Amino acid sequence: MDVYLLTLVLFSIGIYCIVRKRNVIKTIIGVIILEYAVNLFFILSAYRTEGRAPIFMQEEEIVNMVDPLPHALVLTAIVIGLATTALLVGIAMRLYEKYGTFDITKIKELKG
Amino acid sequence: MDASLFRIDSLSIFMGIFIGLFTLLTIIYSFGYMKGRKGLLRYYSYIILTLIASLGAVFSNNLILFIVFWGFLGMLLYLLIQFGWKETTSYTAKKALIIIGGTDAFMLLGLALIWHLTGSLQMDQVSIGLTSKVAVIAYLCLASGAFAKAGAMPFHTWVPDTAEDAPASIAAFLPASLDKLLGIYFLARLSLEVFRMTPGINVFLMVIGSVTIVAAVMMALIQHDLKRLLGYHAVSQVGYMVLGIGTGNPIGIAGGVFHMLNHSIYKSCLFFSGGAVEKKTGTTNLDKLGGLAKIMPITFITFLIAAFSISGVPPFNGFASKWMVYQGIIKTATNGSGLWIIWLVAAMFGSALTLASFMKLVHAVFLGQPSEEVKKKKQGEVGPSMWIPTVILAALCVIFGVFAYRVPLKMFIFPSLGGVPEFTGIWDPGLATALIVLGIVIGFVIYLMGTALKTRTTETFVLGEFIEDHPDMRLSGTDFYNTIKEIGILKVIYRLAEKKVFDIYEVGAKATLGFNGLLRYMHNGILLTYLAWCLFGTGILFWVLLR
Repeated sequence: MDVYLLTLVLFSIGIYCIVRKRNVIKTIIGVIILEYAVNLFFILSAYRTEGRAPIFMQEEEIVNMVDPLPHALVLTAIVIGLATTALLVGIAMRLYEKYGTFDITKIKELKG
Repeated sequence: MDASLFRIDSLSIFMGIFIGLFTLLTIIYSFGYMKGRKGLLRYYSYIILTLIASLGAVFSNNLILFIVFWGFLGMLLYLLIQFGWKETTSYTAKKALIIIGGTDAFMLLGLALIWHLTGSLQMDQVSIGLTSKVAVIAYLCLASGAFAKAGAMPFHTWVPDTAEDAPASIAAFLPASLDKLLGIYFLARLSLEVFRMTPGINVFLMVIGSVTIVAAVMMALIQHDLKRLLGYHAVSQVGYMVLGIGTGNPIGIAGGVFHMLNHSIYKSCLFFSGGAVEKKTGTTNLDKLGGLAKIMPITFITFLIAAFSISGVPPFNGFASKWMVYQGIIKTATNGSGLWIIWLVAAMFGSALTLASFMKLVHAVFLGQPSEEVKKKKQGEVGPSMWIPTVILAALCVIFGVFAYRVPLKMFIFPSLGGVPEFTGIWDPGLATALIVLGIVIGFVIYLMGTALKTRTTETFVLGEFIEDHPDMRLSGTDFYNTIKEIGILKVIYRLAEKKVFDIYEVGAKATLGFNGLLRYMHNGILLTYLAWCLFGTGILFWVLLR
């Protein structure tokens, strides 16, 4: 249970970083932290105490193995996360070219 | 069940005849008044379309069909006001459209409630007692549409603005005659057929009527613009019609409907005459007018007749219908409540103030010394297409007053309401007219014998200065009632009225813009704030869905 709470703390740090930090680069780092927190949560949910890797072998009884499905999913999510991070950084660069700043509060064209 | 879309009965035929008459007179008048303006083809097509839509509205029996024609009239009003040439015209047109369109939405709501209550939308098959809350709400929703169209308080504010900014022909055509006819027609249909009235609702209508009469006429007293002043009177007179229908007894209702007809006649006449003055002098500002009686004698006489008529001076038609409304009010005393004295005082007080403000108007426009602008104009009436309609309407004012029982009441009002109501008191228009004429002749003779022969005419004495050097040294009528602005509580009310506190449109606009301001403040353009709101919303969603 403690590890889940620690994951929640990591998740909250990510949220805090996105909502409070003005610098776009810091926001992107917040997104990454958030993503890792979610990945970690999935992996933890698949883990069993004293479990072993789910490798099928002859003449061996399979007991107490960890769930392989979240592992596969997280592997995919990490790759996708890499792509989204690259996209975010690209957008941040274009923002800097256009406005000359990374401060998100200076970019106010949504003002009603 | 028989579900005919249209219905022809004597009330709608009577309405149809006068809608046609006013359209005809407006078109004749427009030949002179609108000469040389742009877009006349559109102008006349809109007038014809207004005629068709009005006839459709008064002859329709199905409420959905009725509301379609009604909405069409609101749009045509907007388009016709746009033919004015003042700077504020488009603002006024927008205001009229929003007030009328907004109440149309209320009417649709009322329609839905009627469907909910009865399952029928045929006017002649529905009869709802105003006992449940839903029925009262439905009645108020539908009546608000009638009030906005006729210009009763609190939906009156588009009428004075329209009167000032629209062309005089349109001011006479829509707010003064057709919209009054339709609004009061619908109120009468609602109150007499679709709903069965209760004493509470009757008192509500009478309160609206009395407040409208007195408040609008007080505003009219202090106006400085000819057409705007007439516009406030167009609001004030609606009070008598609502009051008459609110009495709930046959004579009062007949008086209200008769007053609606009379109002359309004399108010069109006044607007037409005012338009003739505007055409001649190029202004409607009372400070710049004066002494036009010698230049435009026909307009002066028609204006005077209509002014007497609206003030309720016998034997003109305004008196005949006001007298019936008064009788209706007195008859409500038999219900046992003592409130009738308030309505009666309000109605009579309003009538007296109307006369007072018309003394100011007639003095400022036609009598007194001519202003500099007027002196430059040469002698002569406006063209015949402009004075013929005013003469016809002035003649109708006299005929409907002197022969009130023989012509309009017998031919139009009583058949349409079914049955002759019982009159109280003695009133013979013919005898009264003879007595009044006799009284005026005797008074004139006494005046001639007594004072007129002894007076002498002399130059104005201004301490040796030349009067020609001081064109402001003349008494125009505009300052007549300025002192009432300084009296105690009236001072406060007038100041609030000038700030447009009582204007439902301005109040609504302020409320809407204030709400918008709150939303604008929340949309500060900073992404982080939006994210925080999203997070907050997600939290609420989770709490609602997962608790």
